[in-house]
Amino acid sequence: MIFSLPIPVFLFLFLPFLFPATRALSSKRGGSSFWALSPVFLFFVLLLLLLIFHSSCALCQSLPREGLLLSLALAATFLAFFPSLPLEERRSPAPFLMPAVLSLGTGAFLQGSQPGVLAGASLLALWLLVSALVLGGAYPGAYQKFFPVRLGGAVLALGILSFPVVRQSLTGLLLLLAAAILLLLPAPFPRRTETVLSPGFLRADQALFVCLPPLLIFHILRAIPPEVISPAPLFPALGILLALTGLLYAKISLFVEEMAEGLTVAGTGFLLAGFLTFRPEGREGALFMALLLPLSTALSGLSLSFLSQRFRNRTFQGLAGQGTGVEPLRLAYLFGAFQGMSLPVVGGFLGEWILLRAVSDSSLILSILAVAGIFLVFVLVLGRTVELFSGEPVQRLSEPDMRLASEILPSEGWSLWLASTFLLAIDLLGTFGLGGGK
Amino acid sequence: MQNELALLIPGLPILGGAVLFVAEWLSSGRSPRRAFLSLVPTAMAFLLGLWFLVRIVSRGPVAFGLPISLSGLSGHPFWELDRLSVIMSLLITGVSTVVQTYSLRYLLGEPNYGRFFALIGIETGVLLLLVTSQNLLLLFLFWQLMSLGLSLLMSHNRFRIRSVMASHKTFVIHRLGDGFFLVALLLGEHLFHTLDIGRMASILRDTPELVPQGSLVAMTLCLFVGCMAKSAQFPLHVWLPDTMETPTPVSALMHAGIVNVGGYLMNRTSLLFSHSPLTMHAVFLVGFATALFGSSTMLTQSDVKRKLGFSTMGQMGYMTMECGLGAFSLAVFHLIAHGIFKATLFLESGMGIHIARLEPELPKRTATEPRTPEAFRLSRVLPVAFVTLVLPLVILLGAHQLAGIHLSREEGTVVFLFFSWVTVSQVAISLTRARLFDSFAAAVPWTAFLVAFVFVYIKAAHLFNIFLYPDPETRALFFASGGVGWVLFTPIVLLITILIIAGWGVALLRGLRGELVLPAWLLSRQEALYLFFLNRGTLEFFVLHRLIDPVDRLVCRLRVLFPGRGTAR
Repeated sequence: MIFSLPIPVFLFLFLPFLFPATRALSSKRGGSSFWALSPVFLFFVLLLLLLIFHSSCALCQSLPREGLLLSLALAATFLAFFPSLPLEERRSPAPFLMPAVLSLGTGAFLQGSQPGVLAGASLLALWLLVSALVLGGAYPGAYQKFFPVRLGGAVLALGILSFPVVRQSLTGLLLLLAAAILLLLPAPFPRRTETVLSPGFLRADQALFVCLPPLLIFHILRAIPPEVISPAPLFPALGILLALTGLLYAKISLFVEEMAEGLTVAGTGFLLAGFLTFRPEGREGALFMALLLPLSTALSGLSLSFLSQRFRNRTFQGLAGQGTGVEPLRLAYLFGAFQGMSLPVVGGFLGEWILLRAVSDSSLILSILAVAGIFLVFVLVLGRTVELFSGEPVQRLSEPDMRLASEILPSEGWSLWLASTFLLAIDLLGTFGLGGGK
Repeated sequence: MQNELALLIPGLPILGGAVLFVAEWLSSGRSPRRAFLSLVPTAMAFLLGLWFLVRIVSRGPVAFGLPISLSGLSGHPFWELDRLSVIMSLLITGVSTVVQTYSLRYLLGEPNYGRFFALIGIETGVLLLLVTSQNLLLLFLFWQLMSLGLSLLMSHNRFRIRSVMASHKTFVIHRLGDGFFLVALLLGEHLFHTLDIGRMASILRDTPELVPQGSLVAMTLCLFVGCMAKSAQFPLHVWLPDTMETPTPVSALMHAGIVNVGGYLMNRTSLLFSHSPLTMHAVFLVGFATALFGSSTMLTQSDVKRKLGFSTMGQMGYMTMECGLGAFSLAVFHLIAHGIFKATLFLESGMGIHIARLEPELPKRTATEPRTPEAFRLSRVLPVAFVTLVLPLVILLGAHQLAGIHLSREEGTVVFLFFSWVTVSQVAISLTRARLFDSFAAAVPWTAFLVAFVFVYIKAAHLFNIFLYPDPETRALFFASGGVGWVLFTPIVLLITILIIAGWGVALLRGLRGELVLPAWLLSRQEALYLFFLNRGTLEFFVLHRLIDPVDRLVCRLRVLFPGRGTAR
């Protein structure tokens, strides 16, 4: 399918593959991460231009805007994590896989048809597994206990997607939902990190298993044609239940990564509630959530991760009052947290509204529950933010250490800048250009 | 082209604030003159608002659609500068200009000086966009942004933990109200298939039978809860007293502008409210409870700013009562008057507190001149009692004869008059304390002045009613839907009047006899009541310790369900 694309598109898709070469050149000359990232950055600029001028571009006439947005969100998520990986992690093949997925995924989405969508979903699921294997190889034992669960989920999902008859039935839907839960369900955090505590690994883990699942689940589920399922409030209720479970998980979390996982599950629950109404509006809202959730998690997760690294503590209690020291981290965290709090401008407010409208068409009680869930998420995130910025510090760094900690590395700056730019771009483009989810 | 200038009213403060924000971010220098980047555009927006007020009265409202298409938003116009919104814009820009001018010196030398002005400029712009939105979804968007801006302003000094906690509490309560607002929007979408306020009003006017009454009541009740959170109505008022921890200019802006948005929203959606009488009665009852609680608590507080805060709560209660009785325009008149005088009081209190800090001997008291309670003199008290008891009669007769207000048809106006009476009585008591009311000879000119002032005030309010809602049928509809009926209303007014007269009687007897005249059981209740209000009704304690804490503890016990989560590395 991908090979049927015209040559200019191929050239465009080839750009990210230049990244390993530019990075190698850049590190030899001691250059900045900007030069290393320039091919990927150029790729994104072209992708954005395609989105903006799609009506006047012959190539883009056949492109669903939504597919491009998905690619953008997916790729931006990983690009955000890219520059911050420490040197020793670069020896692993994971960075080489990332541009490949970026190009191939975009190519698959560019097809824009149902097979293209399926190809994208399959690719995502496979990539998830391969990356886990690669990371598991780099950090032996990291995924020992929970990997079979994910593997089972992915195999089940791919199996169902391969059989159109099963895919277009209620049984297929239920099985896909089960697979989605298996892919999403976060293993208790200490279990999968009991042997590895490297910041690089934690970030890669976050990118793979916290940011990616909402996109993956949306993309797997959307392969089901809406007309084969009669709308019933039971399905959105499952989504709301999942959201409340995620919220509970986030509420009792000790580690910053755990909370991110819990909130992602909650967000995915809302996404599912909208999607499972089987209404065009629900699908559109779910798409918006699927686009924004990974980026906001990436942004706030990255900033918290950098903070954790500086203060050598991964709990909210340990990081109390430390959020104000490093200004770019503070801003980036707030930017991501506002999205989590469903505040307008960067909050995907319209997407959320569309989703709620679809849920309320299905059942008003469920929509009230969803609003209550949104409020609880807000209270939780705000509480943590206040603790982080104004809590009583349990540890204080010495003056020279604090001076060092307050400086932000170029790679960190780039990561945060990229994640915030793309979060804003997705929000704006999605607000003005949604409709492909129908 | 001249119509397009109206967009500058919200645009100027936002632009000024944004430019200042960027300038602060980019430049390391901290020149206080940069504050003018926010102040001048806000003042210009005020002047522009004045010009548009004249223009709108003569040529009608200025409206615009949205130049882009947004998912979930439909209808025209999106943005309109009509009589209500231009009046609100003038109040917002006026108060903001005064507050910023005051802050120029008051906050000089404070950290994040420029950021404060940038935030005020942007918050002013957001408020202006809120009051000019003609679509409920758009209005809700700015409604949320306003909460965010307020929260950032309140936690301006993020190292002051009490400010931060107050900001946190405020934001949570506001978001709780936002949740109800959101449910109201969902209900509105189901009922009307649009969130365009004008379209909703025309559906209600032309085909009210198509709108189920139960759903409309549910929608308006949810909208009202949204207003309750913003306008500090009982029991969602708990955020207001804590906001006194914020800088005085923020308090002034909040009490003069931000708390009024609840009243504004009720006015903007007055046609929805007036078609659901049950909601109107609920609004009246909540307003009544708020006015009673706020005013009573105010009397027990010793902190100047806290006293003013509870006074605001009481005034918001009056405003809500007026809406509940159908006197929507009077509520706007009231909130404008309140906004102006409360901003003045807050800014004065800031200076007062500042002076008190510099003067440890304030109030001046020496060992040789101890302050002793003054002896009771009947000649001092009688003029006040006479004025406060006779004044209502004069006000009622004057309103009926001079202003042409038919009290039998406009119950909301009676509340307004009642409020005027209480205010004038308070002024009379203050004059007595200042020894300007010592005798009948001194009291007569003061009384004449007060009476004249009240008449002018009432006449202005009546004209404002006609200005804001020129259509007599609409006004009649409002009063008809808010009417509780004279059978119920008369006893309420009579009871309150009797209580006030009895209060004066008890005070007089106590003064004359020099001893307590009430029975012991009643006095013990009085003390309990005093403590109840002193502790703000113990509502917060109940909610926090009896409701939230046990649930919180229960949730945290669930940690054991996840093995290996107990240890933090």
